[in-house]
Amino acid sequence: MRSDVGHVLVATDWFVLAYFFAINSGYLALIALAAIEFVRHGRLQGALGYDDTFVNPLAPPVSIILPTYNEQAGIVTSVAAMLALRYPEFEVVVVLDGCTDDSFSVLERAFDLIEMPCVVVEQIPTRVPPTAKFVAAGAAPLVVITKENSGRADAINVGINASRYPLVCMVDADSILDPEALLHVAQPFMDDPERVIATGGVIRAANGCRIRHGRIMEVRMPRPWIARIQVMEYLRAFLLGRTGWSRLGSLLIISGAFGLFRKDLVIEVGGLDPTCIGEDAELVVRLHKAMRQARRPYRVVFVAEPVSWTEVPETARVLARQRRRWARGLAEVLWRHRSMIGNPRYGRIGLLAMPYFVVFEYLAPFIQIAGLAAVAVALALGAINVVFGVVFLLVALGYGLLVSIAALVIEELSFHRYARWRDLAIAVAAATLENFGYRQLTALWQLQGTWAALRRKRAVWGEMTRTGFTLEAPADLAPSGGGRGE
Amino acid sequence: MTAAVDLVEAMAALVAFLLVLVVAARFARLVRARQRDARIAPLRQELLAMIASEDLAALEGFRRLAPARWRLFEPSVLSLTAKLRGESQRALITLCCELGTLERALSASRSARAARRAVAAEALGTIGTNEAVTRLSMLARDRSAFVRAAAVRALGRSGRSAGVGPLIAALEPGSGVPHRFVAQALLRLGEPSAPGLIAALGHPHSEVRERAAEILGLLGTRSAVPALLQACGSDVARALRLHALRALGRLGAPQAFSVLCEAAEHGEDEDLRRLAVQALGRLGHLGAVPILAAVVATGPDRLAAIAAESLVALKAPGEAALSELATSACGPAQLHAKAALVFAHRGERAGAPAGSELKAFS
Repeated sequence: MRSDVGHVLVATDWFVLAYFFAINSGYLALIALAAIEFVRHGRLQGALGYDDTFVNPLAPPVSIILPTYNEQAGIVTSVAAMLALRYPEFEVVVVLDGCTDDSFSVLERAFDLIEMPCVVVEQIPTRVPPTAKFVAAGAAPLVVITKENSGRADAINVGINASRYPLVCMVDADSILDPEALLHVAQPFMDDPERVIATGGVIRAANGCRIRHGRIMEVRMPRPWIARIQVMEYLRAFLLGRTGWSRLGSLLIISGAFGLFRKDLVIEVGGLDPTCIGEDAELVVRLHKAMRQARRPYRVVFVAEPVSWTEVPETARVLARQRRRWARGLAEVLWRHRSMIGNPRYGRIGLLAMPYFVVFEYLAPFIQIAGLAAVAVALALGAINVVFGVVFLLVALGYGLLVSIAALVIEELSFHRYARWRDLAIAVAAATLENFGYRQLTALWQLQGTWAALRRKRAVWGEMTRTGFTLEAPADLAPSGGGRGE
Repeated sequence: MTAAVDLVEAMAALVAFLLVLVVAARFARLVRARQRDARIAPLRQELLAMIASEDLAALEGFRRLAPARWRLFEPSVLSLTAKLRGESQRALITLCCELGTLERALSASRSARAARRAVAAEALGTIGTNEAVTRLSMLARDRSAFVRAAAVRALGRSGRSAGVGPLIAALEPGSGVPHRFVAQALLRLGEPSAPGLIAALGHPHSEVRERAAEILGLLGTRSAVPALLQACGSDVARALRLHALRALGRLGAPQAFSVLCEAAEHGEDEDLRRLAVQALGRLGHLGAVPILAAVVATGPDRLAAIAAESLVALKAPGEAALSELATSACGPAQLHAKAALVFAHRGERAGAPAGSELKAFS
């Protein structure tokens, strides 16, 4: 009996080891694809025509939708930075989603808002209608909408209804965009206007960076190790992973913190789904589904160059909440669109991207935790010896480290955003430390999120306790306070 | 087991190799950048001083530069040349041609690598000689979409009317160049594009006709008005009529008044009416006031909002009509009229106390 259990445990250990191999090999393949893309991008650097786009009278105008909930301390800086973006024609639509702080007052004072009769055509059905509409006195293309609280997705839908332009850019109010970000993220719409329906920009961690007047002045590594590890994680998963998926024509996720969409199509598919906690990814999957069903040619593109900087959690408590929510969002998206998984009708999305997300994203925390437990039990029962256990862990974790360092190499060869040698050393240390505790904890939190999705527990965003950016700014540009999204 | 240990060792070796690679890559990049700065910065300063003082004879010194150093400096010179006009630009182009930049760009434009061809196209556009334009015309039909787009942009920057023909050809479906790039290039070439574009209103491909109408509107070519009016006829395809109406609005041609009124009042769909309503606002003809006011009062929501904005563009008579609607109309028409008035006067609020009345008004 004991011997049978031992065989099962050893078999489980080998299976988990093979799984780790497969998952990391998948990452390595995506990193290789991203590297090819970056080399191509680098070679074309002198011929990308961003300056031409900036002065092109036919560049598609963009409505930036900025949903916000109690971001009083940072909202003025954020809006002012958005209004200073380099782009031929755009407007900023701020949606105050039932703010209970002084967000409106600070905006009104800063931009001298004038109330307009609230005429908003409801092209996307919304849960809560806008209560008032304001515009900035003077030439600033700013619209502020107030409404009762109904969640981020609904707030964005209200913003889309109030927007004027054919492209809508969804941005988080606590994000900091590079000055050229809009120009870069809109370029695919210029290059391939018939097919591009959505583009996403890369998200990086703003913690530790030197910030002035809502602009990143110097990129630095954060101080807390938990944030430093996330820098590496974002680099691997957001920058390189999504670039790889984009190159495969199978990008499933565009972060809500920075994504540009064709408004007519967003309206056509019914806008963001306020009942889904992973509403950004869900919208992209729904767009894929609609386009594939209609057999319309299209592209969803990830742009690695423009950067949206966001504050990542610096405490385990906030990080845990974020990861539970992400896992829950993924589970919901996969469940709602389960008919696409493995379905040849949806091409690469159905046959490659969605199965990958099921096997290597959704199931990963289960297998990771089960694998660790199996090793521990097998060691305790003597089914494997200590040397085998150690080698097992070294192989599993070593490959993860290899993938992280490979990501660092690509970053260094392409964007090299972290200029200080000290930050490079920190990045290497963070990539190593990530394997000891961090990965296992995030797997546990993901497991909890997936479990909550299975139990259909009511979704709660929770407060994102922000520690605030290190701002080099006048007193009125204080660090951002409490917010909801992370 | 041994295999697993070997694997761990191999991974460790690979990680170590990658770490060395990261450090070496950074070190090499910093050294290269420092060397380049040291060699280029003084030249750049010298060149800027010459251009600022218009001492173009002093450019002679650059002709004696070692070929390797010139090649390092070449991108900076080309970038500056593209930003200049007149004598200074011509002097730099001559310098580039004498130092082999044109030959190198022509040669790179035949490279097997698309990126090299695209970068070469940019250089050829800046140099803009006949030879460069001829080559760019060919690159506008390149197999790579990036090269085609770069060539089209470069043709616009070249400032040569010889580029008009290839650019109009690039408007054809299947050319694989986004029409926005072609339009921008033709706009850059300016008035010399107009005859070709007017002729393109009769092009066999409907897309070319539509784009030509759109670009003529942006170009501001008054001589295009009769041809555009013809393109607004009821026997013409809807898409062309839309573009022609928009162009006429942009041109502000008084001859277009009756055509626009007809389309605003009786256009067969909302898009057509919207464009006509917008165009009437731009035209500035006071006869449009009652027609636009009627659209605000009775038109569908979006159309009514645009008509209200157009009334604002007609200044005092338009605003008087809006004030009338704001007080006497009801429902959405009243809201649109109020919204347009508040929006129109929002600039006054910033500096003048009159703004408080507007706030009360809303």
